[in-house]
Amino acid sequence: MSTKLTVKPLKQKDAGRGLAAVDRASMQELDLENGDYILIGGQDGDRAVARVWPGYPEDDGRGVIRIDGRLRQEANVGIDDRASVEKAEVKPASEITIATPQSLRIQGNIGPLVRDRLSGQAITQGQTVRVGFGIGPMSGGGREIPLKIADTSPSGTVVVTDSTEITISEKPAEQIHEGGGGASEGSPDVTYEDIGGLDRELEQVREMIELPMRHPELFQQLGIEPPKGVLLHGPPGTGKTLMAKAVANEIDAHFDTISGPEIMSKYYGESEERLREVFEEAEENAPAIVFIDELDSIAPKRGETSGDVERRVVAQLLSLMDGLEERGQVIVIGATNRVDAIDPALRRGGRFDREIEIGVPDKEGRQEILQVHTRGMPLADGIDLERYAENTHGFVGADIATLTREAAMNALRRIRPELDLESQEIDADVLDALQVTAEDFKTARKGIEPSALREVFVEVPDTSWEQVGGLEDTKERLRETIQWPLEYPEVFEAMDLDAAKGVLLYGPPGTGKTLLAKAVANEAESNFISIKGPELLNKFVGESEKGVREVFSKARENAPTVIFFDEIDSVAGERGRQSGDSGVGERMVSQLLTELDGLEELEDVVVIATTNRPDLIDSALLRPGRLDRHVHVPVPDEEARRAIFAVHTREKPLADDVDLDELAEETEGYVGADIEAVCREASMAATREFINSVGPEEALDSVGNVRVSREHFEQALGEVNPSVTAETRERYEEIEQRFDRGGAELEEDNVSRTFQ
Amino acid sequence: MTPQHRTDGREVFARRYEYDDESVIAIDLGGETTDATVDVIDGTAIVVIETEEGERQEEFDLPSEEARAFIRNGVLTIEVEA
Repeated sequence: MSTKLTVKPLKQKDAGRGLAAVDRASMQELDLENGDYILIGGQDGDRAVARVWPGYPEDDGRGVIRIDGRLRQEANVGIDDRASVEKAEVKPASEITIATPQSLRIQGNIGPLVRDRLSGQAITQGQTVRVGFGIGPMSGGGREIPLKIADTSPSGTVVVTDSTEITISEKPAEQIHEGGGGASEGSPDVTYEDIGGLDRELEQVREMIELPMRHPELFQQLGIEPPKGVLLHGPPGTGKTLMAKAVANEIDAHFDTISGPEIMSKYYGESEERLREVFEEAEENAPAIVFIDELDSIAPKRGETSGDVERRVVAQLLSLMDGLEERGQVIVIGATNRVDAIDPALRRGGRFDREIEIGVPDKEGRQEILQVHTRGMPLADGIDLERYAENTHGFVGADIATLTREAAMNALRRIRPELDLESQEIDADVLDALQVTAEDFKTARKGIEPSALREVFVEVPDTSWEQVGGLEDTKERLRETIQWPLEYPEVFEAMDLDAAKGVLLYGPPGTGKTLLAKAVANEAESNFISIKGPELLNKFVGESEKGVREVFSKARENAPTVIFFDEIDSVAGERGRQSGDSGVGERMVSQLLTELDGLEELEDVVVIATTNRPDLIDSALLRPGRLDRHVHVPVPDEEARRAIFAVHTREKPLADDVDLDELAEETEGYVGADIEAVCREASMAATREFINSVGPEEALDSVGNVRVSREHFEQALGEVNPSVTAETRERYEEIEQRFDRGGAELEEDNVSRTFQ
Repeated sequence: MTPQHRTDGREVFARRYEYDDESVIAIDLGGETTDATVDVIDGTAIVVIETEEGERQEEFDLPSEEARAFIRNGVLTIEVEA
């Protein structure tokens, strides 16, 4: 009994196991149970064998069979095709013979390894199975090694079991004639399951490309022209090229690639000629896809290019895409990461009908991508991909690929001492022992930053809340403002509460503003961009503002991000006062203002600014909606000083007579930086005493006995003076009061500008 | 039940699907387990796998005591009434 079912793709994480998820109604109809073997028949009599897996609940009663790209290729069916499905009788194999590719160099008996990997899979003679042998490099770049099934016993479709004999054929795989099925030559070997986190975009691309190619009659019936081109754009590494490859592979169309600079020629007219040739070839092989990678390099805005050639190439491309001549079933996919650099004439309907943005993946997307890349990887216990998806904000697909590769390379490094590089072949036992551990991932994660942020990225500091002594109120308010919106977005949504856009930390020098910002950046698990005001300045008119703009656009692309402006007074001074710098400062302030509260939404981007001159900052920046939370980082009181002492002496060997409470009491007017200096001086004094008293030979042995005593602290207190006087403190308290009264009054309140 | 890890480090491929009237847990043990039996005792599915090296036993905790379990070609299915 056989039924026709609609073919759909499997979820990325379920791919690669030879499973077919059949919806439950169809399973009943076919009298199937989970685990039964089925025969999937597609076009031209190609068939594939799969094991039944419970159907996804959302498919119930829809007559759907979900199989992965490999099975689709074997059965020669595409997504949304109808395939016949019937129950199959599969015999256990008593013996199979496999042929390995010529390039494979593995010593020892790989039989058990192959059996291990193939066990449970149903195979037929002539079929090529891909087997992952741990990690790729030894197979010449690929992740999996293609093995050809040279012979099976009994013949027909068999399943590999534990008792199957596996022999390796003498002849390499290249010399065995392929008996039907297998991948078609020429088109790329990427399936939809190899793309993670782009389901919505993929659906759009398929709708634009697959539908018109498979069923042109639909469009005739509707009386519309089928779409002719799709433009994919987005940041580098997000999967534009991969998507084009997958589409070409899945619909089995002829695939032509134009890479921009390749078609350029020094002879007059030849560049256009080559472009025409590509399209002609595609037309002859229709249905075909012409893929133009890096479209911006051959089709820049005509008004802005200086070269004559570019203009002619653009014109040629325009007429090829929508000229007098019909181009038939040829669809053009363009990919670029600079969509605004493309000639506007290309971006109208009839040429690139639809522009699909491929963005930076979100958490779910990243998890899917991780699943794709670790599919063939022997992972050790306790690796939680979800966690890696969580702490890789701003990573694009390419970054995640690098992450997994680096992790695997770390694993490889571990076994390298056991490898004999002189010998030609690698022992199969060693291969089998290869495993990627959580530690490997952690090490790899440290070395990789999101590519879009590389220019501006600073390493996330290692500071945690514990390292900030005192300042409990301030810490709590910062946590509310920055960590909560990222951690509890649902709560904020339910309360109809917008997250604060920015926080201004102000207070006397040395009270720990920068330290707080560092702790926030670390604890918020966000990307962190640190801006030192003066570095944005540029000698060219307009470039300084551009710097501000770029910082914010980078932050947006890589959200959640914390942007940190240290000493913001240097770039955001009050407008209408300076005159010496031709107004650069003012324009930068204006740019900052619009970025913080402009038409474009700032989502999951928080600005933290610090200053010790809040009175100098342009008041428009301080109003709600911009830097709306003002957090005073005060001079520490006695209790806070005690806490700061505790932080700084945590690792120091203290003598018993040192009483931190007493020290805190004595250090009225000392700020965090002063206290740090006191502690440093005290241990320096102890060190000095110690080194002068013993010879260099004994120093190492007796260093364990040294203690920093009360005397040393008293000595240090004599050297380090409080940096905050009563006067300064009053001034800041005054400022705090003014801020509490609100920004409007601040402007009028010019009388108390004590610092000018 | 989400993907778990087996003692030998290879991931157990397990998925749980919620249907209207029941939930199904499917676990792919691989085809090496053509000779396997499963018993449900006190909310635990005990799978006995016979291999060349001898018997191996695996246990899976079930969300409910009322469950039906069977194995076919290495696919372990556990059905739990909703």
